[in-house]
Amino acid sequence: MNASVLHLMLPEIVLTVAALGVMLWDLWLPAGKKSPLGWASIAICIALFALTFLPEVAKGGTGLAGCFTVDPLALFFKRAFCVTGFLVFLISREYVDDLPQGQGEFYTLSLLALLGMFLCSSVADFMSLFVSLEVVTVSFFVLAAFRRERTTSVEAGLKLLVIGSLSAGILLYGIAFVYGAVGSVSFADIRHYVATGHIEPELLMGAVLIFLGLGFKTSAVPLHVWVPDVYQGSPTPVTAYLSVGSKLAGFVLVVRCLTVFAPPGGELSSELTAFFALVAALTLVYGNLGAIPQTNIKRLMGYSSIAQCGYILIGIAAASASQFEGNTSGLSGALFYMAAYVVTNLAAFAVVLIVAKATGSHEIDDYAGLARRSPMLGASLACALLSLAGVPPFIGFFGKFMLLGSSFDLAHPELLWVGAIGFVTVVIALYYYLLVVKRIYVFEPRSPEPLAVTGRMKVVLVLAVAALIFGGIAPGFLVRSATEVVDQLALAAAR
Amino acid sequence: MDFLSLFVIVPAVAALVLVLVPERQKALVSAIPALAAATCLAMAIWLMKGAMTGGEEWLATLTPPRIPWVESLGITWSVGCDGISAAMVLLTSIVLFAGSLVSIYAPSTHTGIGDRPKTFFLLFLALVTGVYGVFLVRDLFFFYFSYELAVVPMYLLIGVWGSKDREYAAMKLTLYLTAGAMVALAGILFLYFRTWEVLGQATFHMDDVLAASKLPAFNAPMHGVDFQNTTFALLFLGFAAIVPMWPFHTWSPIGHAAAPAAGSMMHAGVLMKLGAYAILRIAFPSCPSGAAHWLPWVAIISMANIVYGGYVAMAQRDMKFVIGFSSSSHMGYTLLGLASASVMGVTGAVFLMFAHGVMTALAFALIGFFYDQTHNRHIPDLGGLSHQLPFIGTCFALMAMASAGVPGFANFASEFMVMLGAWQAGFKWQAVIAVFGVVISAVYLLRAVRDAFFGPRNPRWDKIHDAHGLQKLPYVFLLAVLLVFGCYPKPITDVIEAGVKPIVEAVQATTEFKGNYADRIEIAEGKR
Repeated sequence: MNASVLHLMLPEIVLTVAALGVMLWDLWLPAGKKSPLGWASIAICIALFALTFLPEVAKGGTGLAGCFTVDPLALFFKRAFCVTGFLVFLISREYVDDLPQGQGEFYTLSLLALLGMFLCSSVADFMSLFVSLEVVTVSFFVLAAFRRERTTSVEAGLKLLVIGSLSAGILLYGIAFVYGAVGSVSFADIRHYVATGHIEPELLMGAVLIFLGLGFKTSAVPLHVWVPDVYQGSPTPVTAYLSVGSKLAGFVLVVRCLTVFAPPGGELSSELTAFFALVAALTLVYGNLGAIPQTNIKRLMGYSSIAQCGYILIGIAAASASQFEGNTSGLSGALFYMAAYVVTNLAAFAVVLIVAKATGSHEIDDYAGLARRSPMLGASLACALLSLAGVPPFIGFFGKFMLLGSSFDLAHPELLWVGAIGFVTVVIALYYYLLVVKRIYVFEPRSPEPLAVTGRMKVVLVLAVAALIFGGIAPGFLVRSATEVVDQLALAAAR
Repeated sequence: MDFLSLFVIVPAVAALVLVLVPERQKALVSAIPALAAATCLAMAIWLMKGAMTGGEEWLATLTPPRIPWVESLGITWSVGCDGISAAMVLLTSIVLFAGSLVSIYAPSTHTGIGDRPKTFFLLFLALVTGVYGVFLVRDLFFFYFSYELAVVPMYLLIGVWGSKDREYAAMKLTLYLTAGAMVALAGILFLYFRTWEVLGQATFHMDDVLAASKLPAFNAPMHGVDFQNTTFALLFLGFAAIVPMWPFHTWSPIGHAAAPAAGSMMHAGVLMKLGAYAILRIAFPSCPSGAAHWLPWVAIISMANIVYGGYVAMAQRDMKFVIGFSSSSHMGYTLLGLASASVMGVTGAVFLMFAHGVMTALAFALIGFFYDQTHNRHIPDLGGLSHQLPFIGTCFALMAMASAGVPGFANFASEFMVMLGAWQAGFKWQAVIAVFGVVISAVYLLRAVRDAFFGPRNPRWDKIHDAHGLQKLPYVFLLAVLLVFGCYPKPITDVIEAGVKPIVEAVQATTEFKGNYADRIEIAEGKR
């Protein structure tokens, strides 16, 4: 192992040491005085964000015998994960610090999950893909069941475990097919094999199984079934983390595998496009229709999370159709949307957490008159939900515009139908998000007492809403970053 | 920053400032939107005055260079103004100004916007930002952005500050208009990707789309269907939802009825005009032969608007529903004018959008004034209101005359132009039915005036008081606009006509138009 690999892996090494350090530090802190652990975790995320800009890391490269790669895609997602961790830890402090015990375990496991996400963005072969993914998944098994005195939390952990194991099996089965066809698990070898015109049925079978297995993380049909129950049962900060971090970890692998199975000149992409379009359509319809009758905000966010996955999959399908050539706005739209989704969803969950802390309820009916009890909480949640619904001037509007736009490219008419479904579901989505907004603004509160918001959370909410609006009005910077990532991917895939 | 962008920036900045003002500073909360409205009105008057003296050439000099926004997708911030935009901007500013005055000088604070005025004005200003954006931007992305921005705040404006059935009405309105916007977006994306194919570069700018549409490759069939006919149908149907065209009009009367006074004024006065404007701005010039293909059908559907809308208005007993259905009836004339694809007819249609916007804003302001005190809009319950409200009653009678097409008001001039245009285009039967439609509107409007305002004094309403002092200002202002442009419409119709001409001539130059219309026009003009 030479020095340059150590440089490349610096963020991961720091993160590993930090996670273990937090675990040890916990032993020295007296019970009830664990808040330094939260601050430390927040500081680690800031430090990691800075580390990704270090020239040694940012210049990119490959190490560990081709198992580990740092490229613009990896850096884009690592930065997104840092923001995710930063916001999740800030929100968690409102919840975890009040627990009688277990703060050390919570922050250690969350940091380990973050490590898994970091590794996911840098994997370059299927073995390390599997291991990295399991680091994320296993951490979340424990985190979901963290409130072990509550049956709902234990149930959530168990559901995650069962479906997670099933999906891991499907994923491994797919990897085995691909290995059987190509004789290698390295991304570069498989990409070369596909790009030279090979199109064996077992290769396609393997690719489809791999994408199905990854659908567990991204909450795509058919392995989405755990989402509403686990979202509802898990502790709220874990739900927030799961809805963003775990989903993005799945999507970075989907994008990565797409460069492997749908490179320029490959013959698999038309089948894969049809596959993604079908999965996207089913996910959109399931998520959006399922959200309508929900009465629990966390379940609603679960279905909404499935629906959002469907929109991103439209962009993935467009990327598969274009094979990284010509109009790649589908993939850059997907990346844009994921980055936007981090801030939007976490802003929504921040409000959910504060409201639950004050009222002890996650029922949507208890959000009645939220804007009267706390204008700030009401406005923040309304902005976040409208951004998820794709309403201007929020950032979600631009993301949806790019994703739905990519399906109308006249060069790839095979995606028109899924775009049309996307358009219909936008209207449905607006309906159920507006149902919540209606409770916030139109209904009279059940109890008139105002809801208190700590100064820290006020800052978080103001910054998040400002980011939502600024990103929606001036999306140029984020689009440019996403487009650069896609251009680099296209170059690398063509090589 | 250039002059035209200011129309978008002023309300947006006012909204931003309003966020920072604490809710308890009541005077400041209403002063900021009023100030923004007055600024916009002054700018719009200056713009219209310039357009009247300088014409299209002067308006063209206002166009600033494009500002790149998202380069990889070809999105630019580009604004521009022609005669049509100038008229619509003036209309928006007039309604905005009157609307903020009506909200501030409401006779009571029980209903209206006494509750949470800050949030109300914030949403109101966001909506207005969107409306100005639609009328002024020349980039299809920002056009769609502004359009959605104008539609969604209406949900909360109706839902929170509305009256009867407000939740149902707000949701219905938002979902109808968003669904329409989605259909129109499909059309916009077709235009975008076809332009990309033809020009080899991604661009949302309307000038580029129009330049591309002149090339033969633009009209290549799309998988066996005619490109222009498909795209025009998508754009037209999408935007027709907000016109509102029969049978997609059902959201409109109930939405008007439930909205608060300023909300109905903005909605019926301006928001509904976005649809016809968008059709004229995007669908006509980019798909002229598609327009010529479909317009005869539009002329037929517009009859349903005029006659069916009018008859339904006759049957209403709720004052706001009368005006609501009359709006969809009157917008039928706009559709007929557009369908005529003649300079006279389309100019009349745009002028009618202006006149109807001012008239209907006046109507909803007046209804809002007495409803604020009576909490009752059921016409049989009212009766003899002009005993207690002489000023409001007079204004209402004048409004009804304007709406019923009495000469001297701008509505008469514009509806007359539409009928002439329809006759010229060979839609003779439609023109005859349209004249009959005026009779229908006279019936329900005059009946509403008689039943609500005249007759014996009703002691039940003795407690309510008439408008006094500054409260009179918005009503007098709106009436004056109607009378001035009604008695001397030439300056504004000249401005509108200059903007309409290139759009209409492009449609008339298509072979589809020749097949559909030309012989009929020749017959109409007695050449054959």
